[in-house]
Amino acid sequence: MNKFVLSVIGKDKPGILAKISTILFTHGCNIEDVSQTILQTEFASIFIVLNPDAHPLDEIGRSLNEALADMELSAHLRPMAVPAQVPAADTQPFVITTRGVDKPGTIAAVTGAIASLACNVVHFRAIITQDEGVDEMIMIFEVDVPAGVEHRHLRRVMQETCSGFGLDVSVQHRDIFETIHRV
Amino acid sequence: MLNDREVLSTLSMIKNENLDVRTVTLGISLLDCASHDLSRFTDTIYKRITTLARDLVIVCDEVGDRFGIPVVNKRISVSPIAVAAAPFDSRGMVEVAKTLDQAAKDVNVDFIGGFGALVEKGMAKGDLALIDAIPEALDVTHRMCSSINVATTRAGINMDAVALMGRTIKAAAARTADRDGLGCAKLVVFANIPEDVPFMAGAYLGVGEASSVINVGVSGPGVVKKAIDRALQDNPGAHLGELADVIKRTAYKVTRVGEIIGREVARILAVEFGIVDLSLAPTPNVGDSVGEIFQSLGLGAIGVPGSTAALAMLNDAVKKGGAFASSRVGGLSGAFIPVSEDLNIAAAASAGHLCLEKLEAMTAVCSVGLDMVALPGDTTAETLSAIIADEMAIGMINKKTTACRLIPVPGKKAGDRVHFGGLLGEAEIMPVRSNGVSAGFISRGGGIPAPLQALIN
Repeated sequence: MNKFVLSVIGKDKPGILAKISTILFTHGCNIEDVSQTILQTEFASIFIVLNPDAHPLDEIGRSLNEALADMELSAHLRPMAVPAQVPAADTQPFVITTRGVDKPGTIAAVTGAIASLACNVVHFRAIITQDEGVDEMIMIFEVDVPAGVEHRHLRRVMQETCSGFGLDVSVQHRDIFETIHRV
Repeated sequence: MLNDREVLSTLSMIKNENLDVRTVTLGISLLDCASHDLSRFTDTIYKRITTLARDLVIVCDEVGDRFGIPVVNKRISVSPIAVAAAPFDSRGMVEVAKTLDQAAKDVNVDFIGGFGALVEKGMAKGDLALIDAIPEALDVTHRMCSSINVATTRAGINMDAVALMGRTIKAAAARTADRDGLGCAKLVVFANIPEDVPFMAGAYLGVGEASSVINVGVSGPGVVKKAIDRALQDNPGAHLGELADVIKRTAYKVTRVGEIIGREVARILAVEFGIVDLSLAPTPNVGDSVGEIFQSLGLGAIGVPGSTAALAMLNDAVKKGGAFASSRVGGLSGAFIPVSEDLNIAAAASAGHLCLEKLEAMTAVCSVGLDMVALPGDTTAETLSAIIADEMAIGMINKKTTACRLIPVPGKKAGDRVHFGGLLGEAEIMPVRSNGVSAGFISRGGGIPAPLQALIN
């Protein structure tokens, strides 16, 4: 089945999704999956789109970029290879949270440590707060930890990395958060 | 995807508000170990306990570590020894106590409970032997706890047992006089004892329970206090109904933690999951106090007028939130007010806000009773029995659990300080009014009949 990935970024304002979905509809496309977020003033979204009539991507891309240019947005399209069915990896969901003064290189170091253990970050959020007049950054990583990685080892690696940046770090199974807060 | 609030509030509860699982208690039935041969019996129970509990501490630590929630205590409860070891005399019972203590030490749990008897209606040979052995057993062991049930709503109060327990407490204090009567801190007298209490010193595994079971005691007074403080910061005019709702929602969260950890430990150990005990259990640490909750609710200290009403609200809200959070609730389930184990309660007693009589009144609406109360060393056995009888009457009539853990500290008087150490804490000795004038009543013995279950006003 013909699919492509569409990403759109730019200034956030009302009507973006309506415009994108209308253009895709006029090209006979169907949106299968979508995720969007707003960081400060910036809109970012990613779509997986079914293209049953195999309309040329450059034509769809041109239509989108012409329509979105006035809204200070840009679109990027890429064909999507539909993989054969692969078994789900044997992983456990953990949440890594760091807290400390925002310093250059922190995110690179922390994500590097996570990657070194082949853990996949599935959600990442960084929040800047003020703590007694100092900018403090809280980073929340939801990660899939391979079955072969022992959580104590993961914690040790994260603590070693984070201590160099003066960050507090915690590593907890994701279930505890859902258990406490959700009915 | 989790939202930021879910992650950050959980971390705050753990790091700043002392959220933890207070105890995971493995209940082990010893009833099928019964034997007339003492060494065979002690060998069998030692093997049973150390086999089943071999991995308890490791598994609790592993599960606690995975979820980032400390499991503070790992404990064992066993079948009432007066039943399992009924053929033995008091010397035999002391040997059984030593075996339990050694088994607890060898599997590295901090306490083992169940050196107890159920004597609400009468005392059999094994019961008498066990009670006779208690003072020595508590002296020669370190990790073993004892509980005696002397009353139920259905059977009434066994006043012979109450009288005997007054004398037993005095004897236990005398045998551990060099440790401020520490033996009594591991001895509780109950009315309506639940069969699945995970908390010490009352934990034992009831005769109606499975052969092994995991029961969990949650904690979290610090979490409840901070939740009230935050609610009042957001809305300084919040009324008590709104605060009760805050407590209820907080108790839900605290209980969920116990539920997930208990179930996971039970799954790994391949043991049945029993209950979550929804109790607010304090420790002698700042920020982990039930007494501080009273101050957040607007009372000068626990014990001042209004305290019984506040405790009734707190206890009920904890149960409502916790009952919804757990599939199986049991044990004591409520708020504990152990004087020496809670810095704030101990301070309120020292300052004169909390006296023995007010404490007794409050126990009519909370989950346990006169808990960890240090009394003058010259308190007579009969007066101790009379205090116990009063507390048992509250439990019997109100169809609830009540208990007494009283420590008449040898050689010390009201106002002196006493240090038990660790979780048992420290406190000032409370005065006992009218000491030594209840002997006539106590010496009559017999029993106080069970109350009517109708005409209940």
